[in-house]
Amino acid sequence: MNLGELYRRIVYLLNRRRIEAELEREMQTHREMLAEMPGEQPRFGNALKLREDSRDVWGWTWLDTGLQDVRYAFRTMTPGFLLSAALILSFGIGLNVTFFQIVNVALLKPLSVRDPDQLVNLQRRSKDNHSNRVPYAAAEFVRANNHVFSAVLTRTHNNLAFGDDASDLVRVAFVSANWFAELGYGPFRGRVLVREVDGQPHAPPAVVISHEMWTGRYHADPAVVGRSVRLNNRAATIVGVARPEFPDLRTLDDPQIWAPITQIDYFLPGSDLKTAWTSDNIDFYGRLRPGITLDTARESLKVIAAEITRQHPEAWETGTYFEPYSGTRHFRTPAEQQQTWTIVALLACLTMLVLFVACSNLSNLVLSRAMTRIREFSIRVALGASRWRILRQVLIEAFVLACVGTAGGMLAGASAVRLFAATTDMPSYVSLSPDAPTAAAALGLALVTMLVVGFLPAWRVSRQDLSTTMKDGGQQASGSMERARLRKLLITAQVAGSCVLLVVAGLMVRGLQRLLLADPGFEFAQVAVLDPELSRTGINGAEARRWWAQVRARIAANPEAAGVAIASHAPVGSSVSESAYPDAANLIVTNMEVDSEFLQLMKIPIVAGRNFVPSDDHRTSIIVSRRLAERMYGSIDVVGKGFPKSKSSKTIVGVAADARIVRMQARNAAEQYSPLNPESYAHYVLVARARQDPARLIAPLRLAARTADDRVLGSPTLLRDEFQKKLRAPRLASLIGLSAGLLALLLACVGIYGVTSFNASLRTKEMGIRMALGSSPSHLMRMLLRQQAWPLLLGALLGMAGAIPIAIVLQREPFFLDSADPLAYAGVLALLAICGGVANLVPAWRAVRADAVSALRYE
Amino acid sequence: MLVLRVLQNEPLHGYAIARRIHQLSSDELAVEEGSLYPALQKLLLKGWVKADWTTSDTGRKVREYRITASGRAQLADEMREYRRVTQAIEALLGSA
Repeated sequence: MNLGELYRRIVYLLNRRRIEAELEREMQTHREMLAEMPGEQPRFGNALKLREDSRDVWGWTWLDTGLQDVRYAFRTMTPGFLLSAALILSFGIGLNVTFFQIVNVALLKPLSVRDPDQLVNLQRRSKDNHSNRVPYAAAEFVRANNHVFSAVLTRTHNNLAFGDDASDLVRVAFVSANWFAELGYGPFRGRVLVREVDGQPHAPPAVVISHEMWTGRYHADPAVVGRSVRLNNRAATIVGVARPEFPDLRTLDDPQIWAPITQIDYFLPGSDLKTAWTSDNIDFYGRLRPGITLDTARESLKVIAAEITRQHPEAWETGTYFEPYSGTRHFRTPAEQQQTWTIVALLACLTMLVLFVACSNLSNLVLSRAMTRIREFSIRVALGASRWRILRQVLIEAFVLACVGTAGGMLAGASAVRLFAATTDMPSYVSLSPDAPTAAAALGLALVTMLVVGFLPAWRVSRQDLSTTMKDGGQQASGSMERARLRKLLITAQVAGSCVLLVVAGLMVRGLQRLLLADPGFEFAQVAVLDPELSRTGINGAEARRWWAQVRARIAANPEAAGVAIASHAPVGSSVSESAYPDAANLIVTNMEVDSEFLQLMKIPIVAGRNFVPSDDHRTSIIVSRRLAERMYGSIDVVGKGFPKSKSSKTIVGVAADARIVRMQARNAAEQYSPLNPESYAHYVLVARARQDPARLIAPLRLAARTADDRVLGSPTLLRDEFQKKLRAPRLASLIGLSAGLLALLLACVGIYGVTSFNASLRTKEMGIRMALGSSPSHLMRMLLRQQAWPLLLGALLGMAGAIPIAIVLQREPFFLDSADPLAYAGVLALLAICGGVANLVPAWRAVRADAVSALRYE
Repeated sequence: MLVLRVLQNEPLHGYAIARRIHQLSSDELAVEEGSLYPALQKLLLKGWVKADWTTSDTGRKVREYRITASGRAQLADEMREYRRVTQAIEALLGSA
């Protein structure tokens, strides 16, 4: 068919009504002329038939008959059937669409910045160390000396007090002045930061506020540009508002204010960020020049890194280099990439499983409908419908269902995503509205659904000898054993699918339960934490030690406080530094620097040796946890031994009981404690135990911090709140997993119920005869039940087998679920047995109770 | 081919096409309406003819079919092909 022809066909389709009317008129004329002609017999065929033949030429007949089928499909589907099918499919497709959309935004879509493929994140690496940040000074050194970047971007972030309220903190990103230009974003109002102005050494303090902050705090006031604002008690001018979609390069970070990084010591007086070589204090990005690959950049930067090592040997050990990570992969390291994909693949399996269960359920429904309609089909065949037309009818019904399901799924997905964004505090620049890939995914799913839902029934119908079935009123055909086997197969699949989902949900729930009930090895309910972030305010060294002495004395004197200690990290919530030792393989060791009060305050008992005393030196003394001792030395009798075992540099003074300080779920975690380092006081946090209510410690802690130095912005937290925050994710996951599992189980039960009652209704005749011959109801019942027992059993077995690989993945990071939890498996089996049994028992009981003899009379 | 042939000289309406074929073939060939109208639709689809409403000699509004350039080309092709085949058949019959 050439293009012109296609064009004419389409024109015809669009003007069909007019053209057909013309044809009719034309034929009418023809007939009249024929009649007028003398000597001719007025012969003219059936005008309707003629018009139909002419119409066939244009090749649109399939559309007409297809539309007929669609209309017919809608007419024959009862509202109940349509509704349940729409709900089942919307749920199945909606879940998958939601999941895909989140994955798409988080993983697949490139960063929405200018040329993300040229953008790299540079991390500092050496043989033993790896830091995802670098010193600002090093980034500046690279900026001055490299040949591979067209631009170098730097960024760090702080929470600063906004206005006069010290507790009202805003998230501030300190960025290089080329930040906006390099990411390709202009202002929404006013101007953004620009290198020519804000990059200058003595530029007046200028900040850009986020669109969210503008609409929130400033009620979208157009006069905000030029207004003065106080950050950490320093005045600055708001020069502009960023665009609402302006993203951040750190995944899911959401700054409210951007300020030039060169002015950080204006906002944070005394900050050594710009000069310190020893602390990795900024995120470092570069824009590659055209034609430069990651490998070229890495090699070229090695020379610069070596020069840094030469100039600053105290900060950069030999062999340190910059490792670039591409913006096309969201700056993820290969390990992170792999871990993310593992999670994604696992979740995708589960959500697809839900769809699978939903589809097989619906397939069963459609199949029963098709089977009860065998009689109708037979009549149509008898009236001259082709087999293909009947088949198409079944397929088109599935298509209609798939369309309804897709629409419902998109709707359900859109609202679920909104709910997800609302509950997880997604940054406002992350757009979760459905886009083309999502729609494509939904369509793909609909296609899969259609195949599964439509193909099986269609295949069954096509194998039926329709002309003979009419004789028996469609009864015999639907009674065939082969068809029953197919339905049993579908039931097996459903049971297996819901079994897997339930096992996963069970493991999650048990994990959560363990987290809630298990003894983490320390007591946190009464503890409040203050992180003064001294180093950011520029309080270092001796000044920091003085600050700590003051604050500590002040809190200890407070009658509400039962004890006070200093540690390098807050327990429960915060991130920590971790080590791994070859002597204790697979053990992740949390490093804590603590004072002599800490272990006692957290109620972590010493099981061997002694606690720290103030005279212990952080370079030589160490306390290890019981698990670390057992893994590394095989016993806890290790006091006085060198640590670590093979490369000793410290002496073990004591062994503490296991306390999962930070990795509360991890089973492969251990701890090591060192005394405080006098030079690191600027990085420490304060831990205080309350006599009664830790909330009553918040105000005194804040006051003490401010009184000792008014630059310190303390925002104390309670460990019990941190613990609840930590539970939020597993709670949500358990909830989602459990509801998906239960829904799948419900679907499977509905399927079992339907099949059992259907079977029973088919065997009414037989049961009537058996009853008449003296069979007892309980015997008949057993007979009916036996039929459904094996799909249930087989499904459960398959499901258990299928759950094993998933459970193994769940055991690893970051889930740490105990995959060998017998209670979870037993619970799932019990649940399956009970629900499956009930779904089986009820219809069988009803069938037996019905008066089978009277049913027999109808035959 | 026949329809195209009679349209070659002048545009005609449906009835006239049937009449003309009947006349030109010395009453030997008659085109039934049953095949004429589907055939005309096919010619329209292929773009070999165009249809316009005009008023006939008798004052009726009729639809006249007019051959297009591609229709003429098609006719020439078909004529050539037809002659080739008939000549071959002639030759075969003559030699036998």
